[in-house]
Amino acid sequence: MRGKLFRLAFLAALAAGTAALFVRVLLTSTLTTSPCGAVPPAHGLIPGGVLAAAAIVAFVVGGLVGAWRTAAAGQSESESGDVAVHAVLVLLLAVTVVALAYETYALAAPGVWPLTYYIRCADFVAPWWTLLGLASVCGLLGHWLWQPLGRRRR
Amino acid sequence: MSAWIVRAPALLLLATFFFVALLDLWFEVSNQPPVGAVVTRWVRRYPVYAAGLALLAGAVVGHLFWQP
Repeated sequence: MRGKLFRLAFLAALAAGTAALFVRVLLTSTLTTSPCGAVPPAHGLIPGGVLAAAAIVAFVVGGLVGAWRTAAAGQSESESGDVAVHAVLVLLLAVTVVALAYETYALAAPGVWPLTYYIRCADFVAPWWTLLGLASVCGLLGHWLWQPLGRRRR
Repeated sequence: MSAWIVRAPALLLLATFFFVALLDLWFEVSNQPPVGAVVTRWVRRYPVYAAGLALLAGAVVGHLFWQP
């Protein structure tokens, strides 16, 4: 029972982290000028090594909790989830295509910020939000994509 | 204009993560196998596709977040 409560709290925290970041990004839409000026600083307030370490730790913790949940729930033989996985993948790949197309356009067009500038600006203006977003997203990715202790089935 | 081209995919991505996380939370509440188990089975069925996706995801995240 205590384990289930922990798993519920873990999942709720990850969901709350992504929801909070969603609202934060939405609120920046009200800004008329960039708080970073014409060009963001080369480095944010949180060093890149700390961000990378936070991402790795969140990914590993998410994966371990995911393996724990899989073991607790048991294996399902149902194949109905494949369609849902494909649907989410199509959506994520579509977003990736748009993001990479914009990144390519930004590199070719002078004065247009590439995505890396936005992230550097976020790391400078709102470093804790950047860390929260990175940890939440990497925790969810580890939770869904990495099953370090999962049983292998034939 | 360019800001919305950046924000719209970012918001869509975060919304997708949020709703799948809520779905996963519901699976835990109702004692169903988690999303990770479904994804793991899918990865074992399509290993080459999964490896390509992992390479793409790693390259995009590294490009955006890591500035050595």
